[in-house]
Amino acid sequence: MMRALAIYLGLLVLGIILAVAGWVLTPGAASFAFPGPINVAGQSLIALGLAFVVVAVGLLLAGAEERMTAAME
Amino acid sequence: MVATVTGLWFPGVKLPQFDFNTLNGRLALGDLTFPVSSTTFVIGGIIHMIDGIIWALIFGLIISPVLGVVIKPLRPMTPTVNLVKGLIWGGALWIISSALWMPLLIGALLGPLFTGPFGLPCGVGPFLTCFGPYGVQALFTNLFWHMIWGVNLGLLFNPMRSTSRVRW
Repeated sequence: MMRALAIYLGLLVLGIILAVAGWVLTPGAASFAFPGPINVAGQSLIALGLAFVVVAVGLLLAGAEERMTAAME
Repeated sequence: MVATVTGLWFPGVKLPQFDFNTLNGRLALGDLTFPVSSTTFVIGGIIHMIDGIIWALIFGLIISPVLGVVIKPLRPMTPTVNLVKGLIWGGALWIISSALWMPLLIGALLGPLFTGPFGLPCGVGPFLTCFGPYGVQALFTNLFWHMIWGVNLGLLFNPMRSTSRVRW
């Protein structure tokens, strides 16, 4: 159980690090005006990092649901 | 719905906006005017919601049970396994979207606007490698969008286990 939790948290931290690195690499402020800031490497890192974050949060939520269900039975 | 709305918020994290409502509306109505009309946006949104529901039904009725049969570790219907199945289906749709749907449909729509090497029109390129000024990062932003969809699907889709005492 602790191993799975460590993997999920590791994925979350990795995603945050990638997203922050991408944010720093991409020049300019976030903007809703087209085309907005453009930096292929930086934005690729943001997208990949946030994908990891979303997956890690999903895994943490699913794991929490499993543990709560087991505790209630 | 969650993924569609999140795609509209992408510029808030320095990513290009993923406005599938407008893209679907433009494809369906052939409306290439700028700025896009609200009718095109709404009709495109309805089309995109129906798309999402159909893909989710295919997942629930076919993909999820088949994955459970084909891949043994995915047999138990626990929340985590259901989530992993949702992520697999989201990843599969990311590949289909990037390899077929976007290049064939959006590429034809935006083809004349985007140019690749030597200034030649490239549509959106094979596997979204030539998405105008955004380059290859559109591929990863598309992955992010599909992971949001897959996580939502996997967390919401929790069918009853056969051992459960509850019967429909």
